Amino acid sequence: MSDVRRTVHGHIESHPGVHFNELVRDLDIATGQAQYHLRRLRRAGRLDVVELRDRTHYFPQGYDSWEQRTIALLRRETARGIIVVALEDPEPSAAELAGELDVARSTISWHVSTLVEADVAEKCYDRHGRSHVKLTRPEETRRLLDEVAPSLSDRLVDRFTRLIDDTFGESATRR
Amino acid sequence: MFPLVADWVSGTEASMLVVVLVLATLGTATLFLIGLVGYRRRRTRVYFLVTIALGVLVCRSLVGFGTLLGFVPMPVHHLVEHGSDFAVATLVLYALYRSGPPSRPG
Repeated sequence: MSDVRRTVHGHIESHPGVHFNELVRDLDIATGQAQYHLRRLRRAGRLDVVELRDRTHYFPQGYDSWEQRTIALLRRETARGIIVVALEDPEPSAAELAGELDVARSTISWHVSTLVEADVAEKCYDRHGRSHVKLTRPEETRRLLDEVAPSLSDRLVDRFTRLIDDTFGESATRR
Repeated sequence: MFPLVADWVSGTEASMLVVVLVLATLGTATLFLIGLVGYRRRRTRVYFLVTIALGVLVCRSLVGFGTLLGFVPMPVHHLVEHGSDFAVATLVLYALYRSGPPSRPG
């Protein structure tokens, strides 16, 4: 296996559910090169691919399809926010979610329907007819959230590269 | 308390120095490792220069231990420490100089 392919595979193992753009950015490799190695890895059966709402997520083997969909959604900021709120305070209403996450009601409703389609959450209604979000499998969702939370060292490196990129401008990212 | 330490420090000073040196080594080594991972991701000249500068900081702490334990004579210690200050300043200044003004087309 080539060095680049090993790096790509290693990155997917340490970041299950990573999506294409993120992978290309983190590893700083060309789009075509990434596509080529991902195709080879996929053909060799070394990774699983999930397409969800126009984005492609890559997984090492060992996750079932519900786990894959949940992790993919946990990697999106707003969907992840909804899940985190629903874990802390079961069955939040759409209005509570919009307030807590400081996004529009329409944004919440779009993401909630994505979560419902993926069977990560379901909608229920109170006696006033207001919709609430309920996680289908809260315990497993919490476990997966811990699994995909970036490690402290990952976060430090990310912030360090952001600091250097901001300080030194384009030359920091240009070879 | 520290039978190995050089004769220019008392026991209390030596214990304080050991604490400071351990903290400095841990801090600079962590920064250096973060720099190395960053360099591995980007592989650009700027990251290379900054990572070398962070590596020099780790060397400073190691030389500090060397002096405390009597392996590095005081004149050499000062030469290395102030020389590395110069090296760090030069590396970062050069990285800044190389980065130039932003050139955004459009």
